Amino acid sequence: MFSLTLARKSYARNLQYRSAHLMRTFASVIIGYIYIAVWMGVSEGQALGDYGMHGIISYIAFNQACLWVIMATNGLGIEEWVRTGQISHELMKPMHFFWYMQNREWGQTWYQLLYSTIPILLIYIVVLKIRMPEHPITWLWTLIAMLLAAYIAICIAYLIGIAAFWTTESRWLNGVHMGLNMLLSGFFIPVEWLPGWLKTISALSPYPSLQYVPSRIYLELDSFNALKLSLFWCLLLTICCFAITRTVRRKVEVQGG
Amino acid sequence: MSWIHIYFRLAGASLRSQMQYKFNFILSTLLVFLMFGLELMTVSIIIYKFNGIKGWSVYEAGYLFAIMMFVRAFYRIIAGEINGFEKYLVQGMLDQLLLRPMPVLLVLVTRNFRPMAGELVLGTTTMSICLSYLIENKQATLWAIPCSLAVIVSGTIITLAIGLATATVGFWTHRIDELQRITDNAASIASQYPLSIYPKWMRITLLTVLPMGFTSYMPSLYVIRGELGLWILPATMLLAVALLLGALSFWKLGLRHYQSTGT
Repeated sequence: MFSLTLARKSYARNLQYRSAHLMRTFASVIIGYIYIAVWMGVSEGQALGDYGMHGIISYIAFNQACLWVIMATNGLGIEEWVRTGQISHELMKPMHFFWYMQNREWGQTWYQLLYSTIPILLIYIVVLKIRMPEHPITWLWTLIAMLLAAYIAICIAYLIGIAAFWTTESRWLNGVHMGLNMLLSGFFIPVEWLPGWLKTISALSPYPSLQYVPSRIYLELDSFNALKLSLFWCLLLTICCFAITRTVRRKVEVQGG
Repeated sequence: MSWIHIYFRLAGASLRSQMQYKFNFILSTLLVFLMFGLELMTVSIIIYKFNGIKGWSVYEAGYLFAIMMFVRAFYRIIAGEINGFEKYLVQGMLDQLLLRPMPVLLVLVTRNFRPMAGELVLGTTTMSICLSYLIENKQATLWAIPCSLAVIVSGTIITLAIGLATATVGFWTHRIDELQRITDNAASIASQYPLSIYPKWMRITLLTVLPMGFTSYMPSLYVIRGELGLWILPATMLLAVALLLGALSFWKLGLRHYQSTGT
């Protein structure tokens, strides 16, 4: 129940800035459109494998919409607490720290799904006529893939935030994470078109589960079996998050004052 | 003491304060390098795989990208806090700056000074590779080097002017982070690629309402493709100066309308 309250509060907090949100959605649509224009520019007269021109436009558009669900708060806000010393209070909460942080973030994720991802996707469907799944069940698999992606993103953000216990600042790690997401998740280029060595690195990382898996399922290029990979990373990252929380409890240095 | 001297003194002090956390400072510099390196790598892979973009070769497209890297880096070096101006308005932090015996803008731009070494190193490397290829293949001459410097200067001034004008809007609206996503983020990303890939409405927007098309694309048409003519460089510089003067006047007007958030 407490978990639900945390998520609800975080959701409600986001609802306060509607005009700012509209502007952000507009910017996101434009940025996605720039990426689509880049693909239209590079692929003139080129065969584009499974995708084709319309498919690659749909792929990039879906990824841009999906991005909001996997864009967790930088380090889940832990960095700021470490810098101000508030972390000592937060660690005293009667709930496991990872569970507590995760529930706070889920409110934000649901908000982004409802007010960013879905509107952006609808805009692209109406304006650019991007592909939609032919089988209704694909919508369900896509939603599950996106929620698993959101969970993986929260785990990564948590690990980034926890790094602040050692470095005091972890926002640059978040920048690197976004860079890796752009390169390895298939956000801007489908994973199979990466050079060999990068394809291997991507396959060994959780990044394809963030964007490539949901997009391929949405475009009906992969079946729901692809979700096994996402589930594996969810499990592994959960273990990492619990393990690092044990370590960090012995590492707290209270700063600020 | 001149304003420029004061700028360097304050920026130096800001840098030294950040270097108090040595490990953090070095790590963040390396991570920024990695961050922009990854972005560059992603774009390079696509353009290289498809052998250019709408008539622009890999090296020409790389040149545009490098120009924008320099422009963004110098903009952040000169006036990084303009990009995060919303917190000064919303949290009332601007009140402290108003009490200083010097122009508010000068104090603002020297806060959280960052040398942006990562972007500069990457920009220099990319620019060197692209320009040397274009010069070797007789597509450009050594004249392209000083021209490129002029393009970077004018591009930085244009970006700075647009950033300053956007920040000034905040004196009336308070919330500007999202507006900056359009005028800074989206426009900068768009300017990394040839404008010819975009539809007409977007090209016109990037050459008029939000003239980021002049930061890299328009002058580069002359520098590396021999199109338009030399006149485009002084014309771009003139536009940049006019935009900056306009943005500074707008800033002064906005500052007069500033209302603190209170305690």
